[in-house]
Amino acid sequence: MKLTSECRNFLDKLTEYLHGLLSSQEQDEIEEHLSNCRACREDLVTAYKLFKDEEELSEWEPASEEETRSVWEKIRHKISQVSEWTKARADELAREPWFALFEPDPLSCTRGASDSEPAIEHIHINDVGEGLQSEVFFTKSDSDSVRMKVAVLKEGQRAKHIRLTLTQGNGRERSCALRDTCAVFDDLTTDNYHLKVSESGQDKWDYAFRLSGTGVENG
Amino acid sequence: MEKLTREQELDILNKCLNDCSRCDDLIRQYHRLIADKVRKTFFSKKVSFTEQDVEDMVSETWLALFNKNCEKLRKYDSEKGSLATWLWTIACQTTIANLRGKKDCLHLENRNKRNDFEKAAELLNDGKNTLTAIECKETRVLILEECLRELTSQERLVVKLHFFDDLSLREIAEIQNRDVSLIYPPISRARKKIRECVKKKEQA
Repeated sequence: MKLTSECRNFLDKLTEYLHGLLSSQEQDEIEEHLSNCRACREDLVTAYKLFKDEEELSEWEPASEEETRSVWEKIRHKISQVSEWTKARADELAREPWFALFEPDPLSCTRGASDSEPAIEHIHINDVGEGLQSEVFFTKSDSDSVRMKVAVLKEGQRAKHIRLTLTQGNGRERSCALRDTCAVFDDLTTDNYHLKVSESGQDKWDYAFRLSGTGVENG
Repeated sequence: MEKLTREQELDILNKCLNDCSRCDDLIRQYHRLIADKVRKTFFSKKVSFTEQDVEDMVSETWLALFNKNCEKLRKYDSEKGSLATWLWTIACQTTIANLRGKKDCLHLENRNKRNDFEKAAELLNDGKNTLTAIECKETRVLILEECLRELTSQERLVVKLHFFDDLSLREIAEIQNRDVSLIYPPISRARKKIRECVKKKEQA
């Protein structure tokens, strides 16, 4: 049987439930579900019995250096990070060293800038690998759609023979060659995306992310 | 190794939360504890497993803790218990959720449901309840199932935890983070409602 969204919600909040960290509304929702779902109730009882088994806390051995390193190496590339939307005025952004990659004339942004300037909701991400430095700059428009600009550098200069392919969760694919300082993808909405950067036909950088109202989550 | 003090635990935790590349102390300190809890969860769920399964679940647990800028790790509240308990509960949760993704829940539901209801019918018999007087076991189970639907969700949950899952009132209170004095009233109300419901069904 497929898990229902209520089952998933319970399984996601099981620890918080047992530790009494949920709001009363969240607790009521979970208990309503538990009163009708036998499988979740069984899991709750299993978790509770293990949870209260305090005597196990008396002693345990720490892992070796090698074991620790091996675990970290195994998981570090899989850890998802969320970059949240932050607000800054155009003149503040213009002072960021990376901003010139996306705005060739950053000084133009500062002209006439004042405290009353509307703040730009944005996220900046960079990643270095395979000899390429990829910089991504997301900005939100008034209608909450997102513009994504991608710059790719090699040894500090704009990389050549670069093609970018952005695939959206709904299957829509956009592809373009990097001709100017950066490539622009407009009208992105909340969804999963996968950006592939290739150099002379060879895949160099894969960037899977989810765009949401909170920000950009990788992985 | 001796149990860490709360201060030592918080030092290790904060070092990791302040800089994700410095979580090695946290992993070193709790890795084997988490592996042990994963094994115990497999045992409790009566699932056969290999050491590779344990290793995979331990990695999944660490990912669950570190993902989204350590969202789950940041939720730890030292007022509510030790860091070790928080980590092993996440290990248990991760293992259970993973097993649920694989297991045929419908099969489990059909396998034990009837026994549970028959046992509960016996336990709910407080001398006034005529449920056990119904000879046909199938009818008894059906009536109890219908009567349970007429309870509030809180009454239904405590009845199931107490009579189906054999938890004491104190244990139910602990699970629900409620005072134990708040657990008996819904059970008592539920018994009364079930009694009335059974009578009504018998007369019908």
